[in-house]
Amino acid sequence: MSSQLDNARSENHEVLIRFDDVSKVFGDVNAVDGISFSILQGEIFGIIGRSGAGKSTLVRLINALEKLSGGEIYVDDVKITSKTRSSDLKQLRTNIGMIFQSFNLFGSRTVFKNVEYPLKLAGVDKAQRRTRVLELLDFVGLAEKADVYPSKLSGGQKQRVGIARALATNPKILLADEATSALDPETTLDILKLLKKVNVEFKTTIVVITHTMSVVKLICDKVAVMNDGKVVEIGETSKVFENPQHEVTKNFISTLRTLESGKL
Amino acid sequence: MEYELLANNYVNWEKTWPFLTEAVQETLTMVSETLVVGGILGLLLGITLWSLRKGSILQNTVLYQILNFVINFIRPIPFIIFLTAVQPITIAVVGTSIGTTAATFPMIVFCTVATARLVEQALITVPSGVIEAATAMGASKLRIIFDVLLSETLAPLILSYAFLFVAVIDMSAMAGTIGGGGLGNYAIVYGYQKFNITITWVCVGIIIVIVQIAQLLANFFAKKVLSR
Repeated sequence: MSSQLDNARSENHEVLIRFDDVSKVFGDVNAVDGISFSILQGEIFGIIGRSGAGKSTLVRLINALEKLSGGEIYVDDVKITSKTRSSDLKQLRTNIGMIFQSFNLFGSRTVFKNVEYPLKLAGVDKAQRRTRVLELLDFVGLAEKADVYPSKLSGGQKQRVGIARALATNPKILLADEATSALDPETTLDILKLLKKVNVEFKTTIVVITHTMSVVKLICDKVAVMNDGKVVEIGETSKVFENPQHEVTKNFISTLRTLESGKL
Repeated sequence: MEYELLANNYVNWEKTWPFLTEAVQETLTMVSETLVVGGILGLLLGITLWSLRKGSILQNTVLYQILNFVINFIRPIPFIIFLTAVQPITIAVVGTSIGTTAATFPMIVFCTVATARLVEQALITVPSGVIEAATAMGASKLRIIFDVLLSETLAPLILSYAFLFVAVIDMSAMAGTIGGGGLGNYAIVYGYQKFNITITWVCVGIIIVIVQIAQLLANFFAKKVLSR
């Protein structure tokens, strides 16, 4: 496991996110329990697990939406500890985009203004904001929807707006929290293609949380399998598929095989 | 008997008119003062309540429970009894317990509490994910309140204030009992107590017109905001 990561490092990839004995406790539940691993610059990194495995919590520690209980996280050389105050994190958060299962668009704002909002927060002037928003809407293929309100969009279109909004400030990292779980299979593929395009064109590092192995197989370079707050298996996607070690991983893969075979 | 009723329903408009316009003015003064002050205080209190809720931006269960208790304590008191019950406080704050100004104080207190609850109820309809998205973008708490929370709930907030307007008019009528003046007082003194049902209904008519105008305006603006 560590040798794989070492190999990747020797290929001149830099560590962008490093978890160092990270834990998060809610009451008496260890949602994240002593996790250590690294995500490299430019990777699409999958985190898979059943619901309640702690993957959503883990990813929310990266942009400090959740406060750490223990350990440290280094994000592009910014150190986050349990003492980090959220008020110190504006810069970090500008550098991390996030998309969600339920899209979480601002219903009272048009598509244009949704994408514009993070730029406003970052203090970008109006003319530059306009150029950037139009550029992004063009990138996600929604240029003609600029003045439409989110309620008039389909799920796939909403997620495209979410992606454009998350990329507005040109972040190094994009966190995708079950970004395709609310979408139909065809739209899921469209969104995954778009994420791949983001990764290739902007060199954005993408952390993908999912509970479906097909998502991992389709776009993730590496995958970490989570169970009960721990990473039980980690490695390059192809290798994990070839030779799964942990019971949970095996179950995920056999579920995928069954779905692909079309036979129960 | 019939003659008597008719006689009592006679209205000398020339004499009545100045009193009536004064009453309308008093009502509008009390109502607008209450709505502006109580409306703003209530908005702040409502936002505070929302922020203190579990999982919200300033989560504080103890403080929330205290405020919640105070609000639940005041709200069920019938306003006409509240008026008299807080008289000592009114005297301490305003210096007198009779007249329009004295009536405005308890109205503001009551309006603040009612507004706070309505605002809180509107704000909790904003999905927590939307707040989370703004937080993830680096929005400060203040930004989240103004840019996200209030702008996402503008339409229901406008309608809440229209509802409050009617409630405050209702309060202003009761404030008449402590010399607050206004249409309510006029209807009681010159209509009910002088057995002149015409005067009563003139007051009712004027109040209906005022309420209708307010509701129409609110509906218009809410619809405008909601046209998305």
